[in-house]
Amino acid sequence: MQELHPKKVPLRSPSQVMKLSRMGSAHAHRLSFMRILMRRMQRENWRIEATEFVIDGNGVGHAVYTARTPYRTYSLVAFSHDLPAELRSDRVIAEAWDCTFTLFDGIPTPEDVKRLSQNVPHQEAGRISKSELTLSRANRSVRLWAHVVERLANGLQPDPQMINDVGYLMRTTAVYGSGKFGAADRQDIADRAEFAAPFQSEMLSVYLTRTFVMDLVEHIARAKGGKKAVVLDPVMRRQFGIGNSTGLGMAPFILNHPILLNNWVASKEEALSRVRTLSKFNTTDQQRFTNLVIRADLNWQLWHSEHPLQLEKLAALRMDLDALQDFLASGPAVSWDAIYCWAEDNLSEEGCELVVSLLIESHPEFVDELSDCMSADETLDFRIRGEVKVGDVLAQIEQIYGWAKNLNWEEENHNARVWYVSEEKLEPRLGERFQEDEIAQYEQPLSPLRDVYRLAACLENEDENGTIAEVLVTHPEHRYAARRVQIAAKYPYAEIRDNTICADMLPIDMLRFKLSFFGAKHFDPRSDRWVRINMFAGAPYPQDLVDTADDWFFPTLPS
Amino acid sequence: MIPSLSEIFTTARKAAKGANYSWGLADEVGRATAWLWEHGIDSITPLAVLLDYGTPNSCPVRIGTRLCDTPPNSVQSTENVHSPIFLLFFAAELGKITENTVKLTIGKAVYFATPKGTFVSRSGVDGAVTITCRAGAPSGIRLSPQPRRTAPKAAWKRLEYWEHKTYAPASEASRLAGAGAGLSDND
Repeated sequence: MQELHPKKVPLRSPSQVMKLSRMGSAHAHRLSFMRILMRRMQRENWRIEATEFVIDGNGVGHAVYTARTPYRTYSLVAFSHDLPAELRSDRVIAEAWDCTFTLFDGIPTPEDVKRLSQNVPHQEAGRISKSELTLSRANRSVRLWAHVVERLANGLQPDPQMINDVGYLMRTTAVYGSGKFGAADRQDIADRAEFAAPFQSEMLSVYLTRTFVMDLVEHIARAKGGKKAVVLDPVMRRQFGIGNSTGLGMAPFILNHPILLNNWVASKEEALSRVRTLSKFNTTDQQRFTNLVIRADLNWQLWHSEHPLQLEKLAALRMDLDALQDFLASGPAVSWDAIYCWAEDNLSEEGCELVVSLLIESHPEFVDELSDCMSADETLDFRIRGEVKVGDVLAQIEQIYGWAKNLNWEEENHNARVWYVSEEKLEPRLGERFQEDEIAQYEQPLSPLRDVYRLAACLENEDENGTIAEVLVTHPEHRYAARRVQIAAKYPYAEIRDNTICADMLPIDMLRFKLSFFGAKHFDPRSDRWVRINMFAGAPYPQDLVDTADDWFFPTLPS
Repeated sequence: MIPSLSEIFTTARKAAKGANYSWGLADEVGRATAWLWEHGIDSITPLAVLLDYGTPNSCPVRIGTRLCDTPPNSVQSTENVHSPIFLLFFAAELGKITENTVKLTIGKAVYFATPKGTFVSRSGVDGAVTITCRAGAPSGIRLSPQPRRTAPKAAWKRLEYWEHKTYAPASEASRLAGAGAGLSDND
């Protein structure tokens, strides 16, 4: 057992961690939600199998994949369709998909499957019930799908370079849970140990989807090639993840769940602090960490993007990885904390945050238990404490939001954007306040910084010894901001320390941050508001779960 | 339509905003509507009535939030409250905040809210309102979560009408500004 320094290294400050550029440089880590799920499935020896696979040679039909936990059973019900190419779109406004899915609570009867077949393929336009936990869909990566089917049908393995270039055969374009479209509410399942951590039912749904997709591609190749068809080589098969296309919807989520956001970040920062506090560091540790860095380097080689911003970040990360390996080769690093401090002083934010994930990765015995701290009951601190004095609220605003006190909100660039929802399939969008007529009237409450300063301006004209409750009686328009201030005063990582409506804000920073907590890799922005990623690449399939430690996230070293 | 609690919360919240409540109050409307519905009380019909009427000073959400922001020590009596059953949610909150019993009367109906649960002594949803803090021992049947059920159709439609006012109209320019616009996904 390693020992902690008597003096614990403090958690990094919100003013550093909660800046958008830093959040947009986050990498997945051991506390990411898919890692938490995988560890539980391995620990509890979940049994997963396809119990129905009724799909024709063109890929049309349905399948059921059942996961048996020690206490309950869950089933992915998958519907596979013949989608005309012109309808293939990853946007929310799409109306048809290659495959559609739901995660059923238990084992579905034929009547359940029939009911679901009439609803799940329609996604948002259908209805599901309390028996269903998620609703999702996926589209093929056309190029890689055709290549893999063709090769397998002809008895050949796919070109490894093409697998490396894309990384997945299908990408999900939405995974809904938590009561959406009639699904079970979060509170219905939150007391189940397997769903206590965030997004576990969604992660299970995606994991089972990956398994189904791999079976589907081999099934179609077999139908096409007959006896000469082969299955994928197991090592190559493991490299396939499941993709995801993510739009603006994730940004409102992290702004609308400040206590949950705090708990995610606080857990990760506590993990980093624990590692930095460890006193023991010897040559074995140095070698172990060096190997991990080399594996992260292999991961870099699989990370592709055409977006100029990400290309710049990947180039910086290339130099960071070289510098980090030189640093580790130059002699003993003295301590885990010394590695972090060196990274902070010498690397880009992208590189520094990778070092954070690697430090956490190398200490499962100290960090994995923190996965129990990442949920939140957000009703507990919903109430506004009305007795707080106006002067004290102003002091809290100064303390938390003071970094922005010199922003002139009359300047258009600070107030340039409007988060809104279109009536078109309720797609979340980002508009330009001063260029799009009347868009501001549809603004969602996703600009806490500006709203808090509006509250502050109001409070400046009030008696500082009066209470916030008295102000809110006559100014209910500030109720949202008053609640934010009280939550942010109690939860240090609840608030993003940036302006979410300024002209140069990049929504992809918020998307990537949330995706890193899911456990995604190979972030590939397609624009400033749209990211593709890869999930579960390298993860063991159900039949290999028991024999594999939670050490699959980074590519393995060549033997 | 058998809505989930999450759908009731989001629809009620957005409907309130569409009917000119502030976002902060709309959050309270959403929570109150979902909590009442969960506990077997039709909150969708009285919300539709409330939103159609406007946002008067006799709004139960305004009155309720004021009470919870600064819990009173004494009896609060008020004659004219629209959709007063919404005050039951705030009485339940008040019971938890004050860690004491709160008695709510609505006309002849009597409810008790305590830190450990809410009780119906005599049910009813209309009439003059009295709220009494530190009301002594509760009596009646405990309100418990109820199974999902069909939402009243006409009232739900009204909520959707108000909710729709928070959505920007579809337009080609807006569509082009959306995430993923202009890119082919056939790759």
